[in-house]
Amino acid sequence: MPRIQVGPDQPFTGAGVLRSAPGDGARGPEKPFVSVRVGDAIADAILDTGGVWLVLSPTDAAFAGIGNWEPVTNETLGIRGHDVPGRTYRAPVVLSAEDGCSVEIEITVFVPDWPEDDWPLPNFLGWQGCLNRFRFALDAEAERFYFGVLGVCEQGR
Amino acid sequence: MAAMNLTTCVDNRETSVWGLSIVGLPDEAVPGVSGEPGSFRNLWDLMFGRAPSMWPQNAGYEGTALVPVAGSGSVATTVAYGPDCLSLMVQTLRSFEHSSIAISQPYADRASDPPRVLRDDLPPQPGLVDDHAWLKQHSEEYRGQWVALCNGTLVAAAPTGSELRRLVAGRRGLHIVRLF
Repeated sequence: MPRIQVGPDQPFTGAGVLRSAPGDGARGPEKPFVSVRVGDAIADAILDTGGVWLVLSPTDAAFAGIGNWEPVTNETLGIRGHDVPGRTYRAPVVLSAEDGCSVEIEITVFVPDWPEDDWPLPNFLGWQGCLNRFRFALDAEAERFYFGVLGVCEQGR
Repeated sequence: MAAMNLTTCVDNRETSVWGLSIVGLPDEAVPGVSGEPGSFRNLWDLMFGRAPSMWPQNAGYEGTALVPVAGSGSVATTVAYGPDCLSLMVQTLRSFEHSSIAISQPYADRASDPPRVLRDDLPPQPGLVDDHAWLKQHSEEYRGQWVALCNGTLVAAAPTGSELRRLVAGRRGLHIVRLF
């Protein structure tokens, strides 16, 4: 059977935990969760190849301390068929590796303007503005999320 | 061309106080402002201070201070407060088509900025594997709850996010998971 190898100049530099779990309160279908560090806390987010930015629940935003940061804009974002008002922040987010290297990336984080305990949805790590900066692969059996950044790291800026 | 910079911000989610600094403005007459002649200071007052309806409850306009700067016109600092005051001010500035005012501060459009990779050599966090093992073992038991984990150990669990925050107040670096 032919195998596709990722070349030496296109490496995955980190491997994180891939957790498969229900993504809403109705014990719906399982979704792929990965862990990200935002501010003072680690949150789990669904890999959402149809989404944008990092959508962070009001509770996770509070744990991260985002309330003390400067919001960038007020936005209304379509999430699961609903127009959700919220605020955006530019924030350093660490894609956490269990093996290899973790990656810190500055992305846009969307926090819904919503009563904290009424927010019904999980966090979403979106394609546009986040995942499209990575090369990544999933191994459902090993429960691993392999990733490597595309382009040049701006370390030291 | 004037440049606008965010100068100060105190945001506790209830009362944001924003200062917008407009650098390079001459304090001169501004034509075409609703037929009302005046200076930039008056223009600012007109835009922000005389339209109470633009401000939601618990928000408002404090005023504008214009300080001459040698060789570069003046610096205007506008202060407003309230959860949406920054957005309202930016929207108002954008709606006012005056050729010498430009919002050049990148924050105005930064939401659409592409992601920037800051570090790609950070150490791994092996404790997440232990958290993952805990979640596999206990997710049914704690379904419907919020849990806070640290290196595979349950720190606290609560039915709501706000209750969990109260239980672990002051602790940092926790892995927060909502078990749907």
